[in-house]
Amino acid sequence: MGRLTPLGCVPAAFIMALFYLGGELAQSRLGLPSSITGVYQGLLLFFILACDTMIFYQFKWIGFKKEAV
Amino acid sequence: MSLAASIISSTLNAGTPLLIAAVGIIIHEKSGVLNLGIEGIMLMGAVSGFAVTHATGSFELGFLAGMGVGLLLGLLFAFFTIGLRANQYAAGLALTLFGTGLSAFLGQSLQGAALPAARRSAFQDLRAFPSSERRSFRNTGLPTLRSP
Repeated sequence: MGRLTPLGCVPAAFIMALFYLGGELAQSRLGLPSSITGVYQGLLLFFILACDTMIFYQFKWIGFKKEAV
Repeated sequence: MSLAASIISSTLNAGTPLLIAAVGIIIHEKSGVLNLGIEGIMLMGAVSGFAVTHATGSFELGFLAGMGVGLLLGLLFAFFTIGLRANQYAAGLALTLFGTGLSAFLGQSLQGAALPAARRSAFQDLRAFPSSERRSFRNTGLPTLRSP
Protein backbone atom coordinates (compact mmCIF):
# COMPACT_ATOMS: atom_id res chain seq x y z
CA MET A 1 0.00 0.00 0.00
CA GLY A 2 2.94 2.31 0.49
CA ARG A 3 3.68 2.17 -3.23
CA LEU A 4 7.26 1.10 -2.50
CA THR A 5 8.17 4.41 -0.88
CA PRO A 6 9.21 4.71 2.77
CA LEU A 7 7.08 7.80 3.30
CA GLY A 8 4.07 6.07 1.81
CA CYS A 9 4.30 3.35 4.44
CA VAL A 10 3.34 5.77 7.20
CA PRO A 11 -0.14 6.67 5.93
CA ALA A 12 -0.65 3.07 4.82
CA ALA A 13 0.12 1.88 8.35
CA PHE A 14 -2.26 4.47 9.76
CA ILE A 15 -5.01 3.37 7.41
CA MET A 16 -4.56 -0.30 8.31
CA ALA A 17 -4.59 0.58 12.01
CA LEU A 18 -7.75 2.62 11.50
CA PHE A 19 -9.40 -0.39 9.87
CA TYR A 20 -8.66 -2.48 12.94
CA LEU A 21 -9.98 0.19 15.28
CA GLY A 22 -13.02 0.75 13.12
CA GLY A 23 -13.70 -2.97 13.10
CA GLU A 24 -13.67 -3.05 16.88
CA LEU A 25 -15.91 -0.01 17.01
CA ALA A 26 -18.33 -1.64 14.59
CA GLN A 27 -18.28 -4.70 16.81
CA SER A 28 -19.24 -2.77 19.91
CA ARG A 29 -21.68 -0.31 18.34
CA LEU A 30 -23.34 -2.29 15.58
CA GLY A 31 -22.76 -5.82 16.76
CA LEU A 32 -20.86 -6.77 13.62
CA PRO A 33 -18.28 -9.52 14.03
CA SER A 34 -14.72 -8.22 14.23
CA SER A 35 -13.57 -10.75 11.63
CA ILE A 36 -15.22 -8.51 9.03
CA THR A 37 -12.07 -6.39 9.34
CA GLY A 38 -9.92 -9.16 7.93
CA VAL A 39 -12.28 -9.71 5.01
CA TYR A 40 -12.26 -6.02 4.25
CA GLN A 41 -8.49 -5.71 4.46
CA GLY A 42 -8.00 -8.75 2.28
CA LEU A 43 -10.38 -7.47 -0.36
CA LEU A 44 -8.73 -4.05 -0.25
CA LEU A 45 -5.29 -5.60 -0.79
CA PHE A 46 -6.63 -7.68 -3.64
CA PHE A 47 -8.06 -4.65 -5.39
CA ILE A 48 -4.89 -2.65 -4.87
CA LEU A 49 -2.84 -5.48 -6.36
CA ALA A 50 -5.23 -5.80 -9.25
CA CYS A 51 -5.24 -2.08 -9.98
CA ASP A 52 -1.45 -2.09 -10.47
CA THR A 53 -1.99 -4.17 -13.57
CA MET A 54 -5.43 -2.98 -14.56
CA ILE A 55 -4.28 0.63 -14.89
CA PHE A 56 -1.98 -0.25 -17.75
CA TYR A 57 -3.73 -3.24 -19.30
CA GLN A 58 -7.28 -4.15 -20.13
CA PHE A 59 -8.97 -7.45 -20.72
CA LYS A 60 -9.66 -8.21 -24.32
CA TRP A 61 -11.47 -11.20 -25.69
CA ILE A 62 -9.19 -12.88 -28.19
CA GLY A 63 -11.23 -16.01 -28.70
CA PHE A 64 -9.99 -19.55 -28.71
CA LYS A 65 -7.94 -19.33 -31.86
CA LYS A 66 -4.85 -21.45 -31.98
CA GLU A 67 -1.68 -19.45 -31.61
CA ALA A 68 0.69 -19.51 -34.55
CA VAL A 69 4.02 -20.87 -33.48
CA MET B 1 3.91 -45.20 27.81
CA SER B 2 0.20 -44.66 27.36
CA LEU B 3 0.71 -40.92 27.80
CA ALA B 4 3.43 -40.90 25.15
CA ALA B 5 1.23 -42.94 22.84
CA SER B 6 -1.65 -40.53 23.23
CA ILE B 7 0.64 -37.53 22.69
CA ILE B 8 2.09 -39.04 19.53
CA SER B 9 -1.37 -40.03 18.36
CA SER B 10 -2.80 -36.56 18.83
CA THR B 11 0.30 -35.05 17.22
CA LEU B 12 -0.25 -37.21 14.17
CA ASN B 13 -3.92 -36.25 14.15
CA ALA B 14 -3.17 -32.54 14.33
CA GLY B 15 -0.19 -32.62 12.01
CA THR B 16 -1.63 -34.58 9.12
CA PRO B 17 -3.63 -31.67 7.61
CA LEU B 18 -0.55 -29.47 7.88
CA LEU B 19 1.48 -32.16 6.18
CA ILE B 20 -0.97 -32.41 3.30
CA ALA B 21 -0.95 -28.61 2.93
CA ALA B 22 2.85 -28.66 3.03
CA VAL B 23 2.93 -31.13 0.16
CA GLY B 24 0.74 -28.74 -1.82
CA ILE B 25 2.96 -25.79 -1.01
CA ILE B 26 6.05 -27.75 -2.06
CA ILE B 27 4.45 -28.25 -5.47
CA HIS B 28 3.83 -24.49 -5.54
CA GLU B 29 7.46 -23.82 -4.72
CA LYS B 30 8.67 -26.17 -7.42
CA SER B 31 6.64 -24.20 -9.92
CA GLY B 32 8.20 -20.95 -8.75
CA VAL B 33 5.23 -19.51 -6.89
CA LEU B 34 5.42 -18.60 -3.23
CA ASN B 35 1.97 -19.18 -1.77
CA LEU B 36 1.64 -17.37 1.53
CA GLY B 37 -2.13 -17.59 1.31
CA ILE B 38 -2.27 -21.28 2.16
CA GLU B 39 -3.48 -20.50 5.66
CA GLY B 40 -6.53 -18.68 4.35
CA ILE B 41 -7.20 -21.43 1.83
CA MET B 42 -6.98 -24.11 4.52
CA LEU B 43 -9.30 -22.23 6.86
CA MET B 44 -11.87 -21.56 4.17
CA GLY B 45 -11.78 -25.20 3.08
CA ALA B 46 -12.17 -26.35 6.66
CA VAL B 47 -15.11 -24.05 7.34
CA SER B 48 -16.92 -24.93 4.13
CA GLY B 49 -16.34 -28.63 4.60
CA PHE B 50 -17.66 -28.48 8.14
CA ALA B 51 -20.64 -26.34 7.13
CA VAL B 52 -21.66 -28.64 4.30
CA THR B 53 -21.25 -31.74 6.46
CA HIS B 54 -23.25 -30.08 9.20
CA ALA B 55 -26.01 -29.08 6.78
CA THR B 56 -26.29 -32.28 4.75
CA GLY B 57 -24.92 -34.89 7.13
CA SER B 58 -22.79 -36.34 4.39
CA PHE B 59 -19.03 -36.50 4.90
CA GLU B 60 -18.37 -37.03 1.22
CA LEU B 61 -20.20 -33.84 0.27
CA GLY B 62 -18.27 -31.91 2.91
CA PHE B 63 -15.03 -33.32 1.56
CA LEU B 64 -15.96 -32.22 -1.95
CA ALA B 65 -17.02 -28.77 -0.72
CA GLY B 66 -13.71 -28.24 1.05
CA MET B 67 -11.87 -29.31 -2.07
CA GLY B 68 -13.97 -27.03 -4.24
CA VAL B 69 -13.52 -23.96 -2.06
CA GLY B 70 -9.78 -24.57 -1.85
CA LEU B 71 -9.73 -24.91 -5.61
CA LEU B 72 -11.58 -21.62 -6.09
CA LEU B 73 -9.30 -19.72 -3.74
CA GLY B 74 -6.25 -21.24 -5.41
CA LEU B 75 -7.70 -20.10 -8.72
CA LEU B 76 -8.09 -16.59 -7.30
CA PHE B 77 -4.47 -16.63 -6.17
CA ALA B 78 -3.35 -17.89 -9.57
CA PHE B 79 -5.37 -15.17 -11.28
CA PHE B 80 -3.55 -12.52 -9.29
CA THR B 81 -0.02 -13.90 -9.35
CA ILE B 82 0.05 -15.51 -12.79
CA GLY B 83 -2.65 -13.65 -14.69
CA LEU B 84 -2.03 -10.16 -13.36
CA ARG B 85 1.61 -10.77 -12.31
CA ALA B 86 1.00 -9.11 -8.99
CA ASN B 87 3.44 -9.40 -6.13
CA GLN B 88 3.27 -12.94 -4.77
CA TYR B 89 4.00 -11.95 -1.19
CA ALA B 90 1.31 -9.28 -1.14
CA ALA B 91 -1.24 -11.50 -2.87
CA GLY B 92 -0.53 -14.34 -0.45
CA LEU B 93 -0.84 -12.11 2.59
CA ALA B 94 -4.06 -10.65 1.20
CA LEU B 95 -5.44 -14.15 0.72
CA THR B 96 -4.45 -15.08 4.27
CA LEU B 97 -6.15 -11.99 5.72
CA PHE B 98 -9.21 -12.57 3.57
CA GLY B 99 -9.45 -16.28 4.33
CA THR B 100 -8.98 -16.00 8.09
CA GLY B 101 -11.50 -13.17 8.31
CA LEU B 102 -14.11 -14.76 6.11
CA SER B 103 -13.76 -18.18 7.71
CA ALA B 104 -14.15 -16.66 11.19
CA PHE B 105 -17.16 -14.73 9.95
CA LEU B 106 -18.83 -17.70 8.29
CA GLY B 107 -17.97 -20.09 11.08
CA GLN B 108 -19.40 -17.94 13.80
CA SER B 109 -22.83 -19.54 13.61
CA LEU B 110 -21.24 -23.00 13.59
CA GLN B 111 -19.37 -22.62 16.85
CA GLY B 112 -20.06 -25.57 19.08
CA ALA B 113 -22.11 -27.32 16.42
CA ALA B 114 -21.86 -31.07 16.46
CA LEU B 115 -21.37 -33.24 13.43
CA PRO B 116 -23.40 -36.40 12.90
CA ALA B 117 -21.74 -39.45 14.37
CA ALA B 118 -18.80 -40.49 12.26
CA ARG B 119 -19.53 -43.72 10.53
CA ARG B 120 -16.91 -45.91 9.01
CA SER B 121 -15.92 -44.47 5.65
CA ALA B 122 -14.31 -46.21 2.75
CA PHE B 123 -10.88 -45.03 3.87
CA GLN B 124 -11.14 -46.66 7.25
CA ASP B 125 -12.59 -49.93 6.14
CA LEU B 126 -10.68 -52.45 8.16
CA ARG B 127 -12.67 -55.49 7.22
CA ALA B 128 -9.67 -56.85 5.38
CA PHE B 129 -7.79 -57.27 8.63
CA PRO B 130 -8.22 -60.34 10.82
CA SER B 131 -10.45 -59.77 13.78
CA SER B 132 -7.72 -59.56 16.42
CA GLU B 133 -5.89 -56.78 14.58
CA ARG B 134 -9.14 -55.03 13.88
CA ARG B 135 -9.91 -54.94 17.56
CA SER B 136 -6.55 -53.39 18.39
CA PHE B 137 -7.06 -50.80 15.67
CA ARG B 138 -10.43 -49.91 17.06
CA ASN B 139 -9.19 -49.58 20.59
CA THR B 140 -6.31 -47.18 20.21
CA GLY B 141 -6.13 -46.11 16.62
CA LEU B 142 -2.38 -46.58 16.95
CA PRO B 143 -1.70 -50.26 17.53
CA THR B 144 2.06 -50.18 17.19
CA LEU B 145 2.48 -47.89 20.17
CA ARG B 146 0.41 -49.78 22.69
CA SER B 147 2.12 -50.72 25.90
CA PRO B 148 2.70 -54.47 26.11
